[in-house]
Amino acid sequence: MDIGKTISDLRSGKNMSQQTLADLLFVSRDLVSKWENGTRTPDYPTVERIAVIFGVSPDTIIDKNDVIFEELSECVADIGGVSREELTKLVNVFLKDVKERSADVFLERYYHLKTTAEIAAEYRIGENHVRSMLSKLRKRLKKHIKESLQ
Amino acid sequence: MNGIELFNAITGIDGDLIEKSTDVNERKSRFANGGKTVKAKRIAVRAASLVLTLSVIFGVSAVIRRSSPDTELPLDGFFTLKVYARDVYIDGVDDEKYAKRSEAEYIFGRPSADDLKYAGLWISSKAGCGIELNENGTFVFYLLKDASSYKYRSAGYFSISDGKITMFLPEEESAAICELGYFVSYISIKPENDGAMSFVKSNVVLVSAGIEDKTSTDAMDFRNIPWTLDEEKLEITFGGNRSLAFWRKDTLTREDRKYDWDRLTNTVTFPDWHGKDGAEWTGRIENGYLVISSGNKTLSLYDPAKVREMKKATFPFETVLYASGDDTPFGIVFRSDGTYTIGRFDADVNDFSVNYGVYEGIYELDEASSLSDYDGAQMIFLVPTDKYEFLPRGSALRRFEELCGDGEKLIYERDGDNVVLRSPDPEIGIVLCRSQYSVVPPQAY
Repeated sequence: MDIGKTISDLRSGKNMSQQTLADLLFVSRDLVSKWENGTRTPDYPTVERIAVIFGVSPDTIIDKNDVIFEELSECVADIGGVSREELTKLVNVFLKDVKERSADVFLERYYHLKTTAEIAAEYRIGENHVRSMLSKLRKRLKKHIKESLQ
Repeated sequence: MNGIELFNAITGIDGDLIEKSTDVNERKSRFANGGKTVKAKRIAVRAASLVLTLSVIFGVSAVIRRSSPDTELPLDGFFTLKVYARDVYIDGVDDEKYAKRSEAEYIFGRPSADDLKYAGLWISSKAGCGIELNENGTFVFYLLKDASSYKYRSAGYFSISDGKITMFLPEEESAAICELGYFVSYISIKPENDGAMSFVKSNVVLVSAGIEDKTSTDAMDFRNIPWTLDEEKLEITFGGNRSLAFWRKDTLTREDRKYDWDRLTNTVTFPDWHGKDGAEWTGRIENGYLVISSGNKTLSLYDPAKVREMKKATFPFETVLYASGDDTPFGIVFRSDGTYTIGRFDADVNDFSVNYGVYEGIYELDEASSLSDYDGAQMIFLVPTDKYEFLPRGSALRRFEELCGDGEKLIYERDGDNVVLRSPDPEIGIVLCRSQYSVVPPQAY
C-alpha cells in the first residue's frame, strides 16, 4: 500500500491544499509533502487523525502491519545473513532477559499486533509511555542481536 | 534484513512466552485495581535462600550472642515470591503449613497516616539490635554495638495492615509477615511460630554516617516528606538511613538510591546518581521547595502538605495569551478560578480556532502579592488535566508541552504586552502576546 499516494489522493479528492492539511494536523507543509512523496511515513496516531479528517478508516491509508514492520526494521536494519531460526532464538533470549512486564508489552505489540493506544488502555498507562517502552525495547533488542552475532 | 523478517521470527518464539503473554490479562487487572485480585504464579521454589525478616532479627539476636555477625542466618520455610513493580506476591508451595500465605498479597508503599506512629528508630537492648521504620516505607535493621553505636545490617520495604507488618528484603527476595503491636513506650514484633520481641523508641536519630540527637535544632530538612515533582509522576522521600525512595507513579516502579547530607550547608547529594554530563546532583531547600540540580538541569519539588496549606493564587481576572508568527498559533486562557484552557488560536478573531480541540488544566501562581502591578517575573505552575499527547512536533504547542509536560514550574515574565513563558532554563521559552479580549473556548470536535 502506497501511503503517500493514498494521502495525496484523499487530499486532492477534497480539493485540499497540503498547507490546509498541515494546518489541520498541526504539522508543517513540508512534512505533508514528504509523506506524499514517500520520504517520510506518518506514525499511526497521525494516520488516525488523517483518517478522521477525510472521513475514512485508518486501514484505508495504512496497513497496521506496515507500521509494525517499519518499527521492527529498526532492530535489524544493518544486520544480514541470519536465519529465521537463529533470529527467533535471539528474540527468545532477549524476551526472557527483560522484565516480564516489558516482555508482555513487546509481545502485545509485535505478536498480538495491538496498537499502542490499546496497550496503554489495557495497562492504564500513558500512550507515550508505551511508545517510549517499545522504543527502548527495540533499541535493546537491536543491541542484543548485534552483540550476539559478533 | 527488514522488519518483516524479524516479524516472522517473532511468530516462532517460545510457547511459554506467548502463554505468559496471553495470560497477561490477569496481571493487567491486578495492576488496574491496585492489586486486589491475586493469582500468584508459582515460580521455582527457592528452598534455601528465602529468609524471613523476623528470622533475621531473631537470627541476629542469636548472632549477637555468638558474637559472630557474619554467621549464616537461619532459614524459615519455603515459599515462592514474585515482585511486580511495587506489588509483592507470596505464594505457598504445596505444603499445608504455608498454605495461608498463598492468599497473601502486599503492596509496599508509604505507610498511612495511622501507621506513622511506628516511624522512628526502635532498639532492643535485649537482643542487641535496632530497627528503623521510615515514613517512606523503608526499614533498616541494625546491629547494636553499644547504646549509641549501630552497624548496618540489612534494609528493605515494609507495609502495615490489620495489625501485621510485612517486611520485604529486596536483596534476599524474601519477606516476613509478623504481628505488630504498639504500646505507649514500645512496639512488639512477633513472627510466626516464635515469641515476640519488644523495641523501645530510641532517643537518637541516624543521619548520614553518624548519629544525631533528636532534639538538635540542626535537624535535617529533607526527611520524611514526599517531595513531589508532578502529582502523577514522581515522588522522592528521604529516609533516615541515607536511603531515599524514588517512586515513578506512571510506571508504578520504585527505585532506591543512596544520599548524603552535609549538615553544615543542609545540602543533599546523590553519590550514585549523576546527570548525563556526569555532573553530580545536589539538592537544597529553597523557598519551601526542594531544588535539585545537576549542571544546568534543575528540578523543583514541592511538599504536597505545604501546597495544600497555601492559598491558591491565580490571576485576578481572565488573562488571554496567544502565540503567533511562523509557528502554529496557539492561545492560552488563564481564569481566576485557577483553570486554564489551551488550543489552537486565531488571533484575527481573537478566539480559539473552530474545529480544533481545546485542552484543560489547572494552574497556580506562587505569589499573589506580585500581581498588584502585574509586572515582572513570577512562577506559574501548570498541571494539565488533559493529556497533551496530541500535540504535534515542531509547533509552538509542542514546545508548550515540552515546557510544562513534566510538571516543572514555568516562569511568567511580562515585558509590555509581551509575555514569555519559559522554563527555569532561560534558553527555553515561548513568547506570547497578551490579548485584551476574552475568548470562549469552542467545543472540541
